[in-house]
Amino acid sequence: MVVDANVFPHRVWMEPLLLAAQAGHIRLVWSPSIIAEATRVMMWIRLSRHVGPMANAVKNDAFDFVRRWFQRMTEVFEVVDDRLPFE
Amino acid sequence: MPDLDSSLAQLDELADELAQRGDVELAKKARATADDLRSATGVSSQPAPELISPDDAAKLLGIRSSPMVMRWAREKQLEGFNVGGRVKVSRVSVERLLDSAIVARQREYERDLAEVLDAFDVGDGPAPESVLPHIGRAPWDSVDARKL
Repeated sequence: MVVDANVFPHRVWMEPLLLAAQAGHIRLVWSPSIIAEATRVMMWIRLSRHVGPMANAVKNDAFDFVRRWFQRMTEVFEVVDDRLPFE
Repeated sequence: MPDLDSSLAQLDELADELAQRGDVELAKKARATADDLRSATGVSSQPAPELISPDDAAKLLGIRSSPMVMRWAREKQLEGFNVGGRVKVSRVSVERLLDSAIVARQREYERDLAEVLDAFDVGDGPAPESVLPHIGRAPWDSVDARKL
């Protein structure tokens, strides 16, 4: 099952997919383009929730959260090459 | 007229009581009679296990993953049954697994996963404007920059 980046910020969609993949019932795949988009989206969400000056500590905190998120995702996602939609 | 199951259960109780009173021979005879009746009538000596759905089993175990319950049933960690094409597990086997290490690990995994997903959750609807392409102040711009 290919998971696009718009699914990632929705826990209600992601959790059943991740738990089913963890149990081995489905295979989740993403591609370098999706990973790059996910990085941008997740960083944006984390940073845009911050109110006030964007100190280094805030940026580091966002990096930590995104890293933790990617650690969890890479346990279940397989990377495949990008393909054009019509291929 | 009492049904066969309750009569057999009474016979078992009688055998237990005779054994407690020290009449071992008579207790053995009562048990043998009960077993003969069971084999003759096809009644199982064990009551049928109570079966529950993977969702209910997951709730009982304190986890959210019913797919994991089905996997444990496949791996024989839980007593699994196929009832009309649906997977069911016995409540007894679920209760046996309650304090096991694999369930504790699964709970910990789900806790951590929930924390990670909650940190980015935008809810059930479409992504809010803050996630969409942004024109104007970027999150990393200072608040003062917006005033300029």
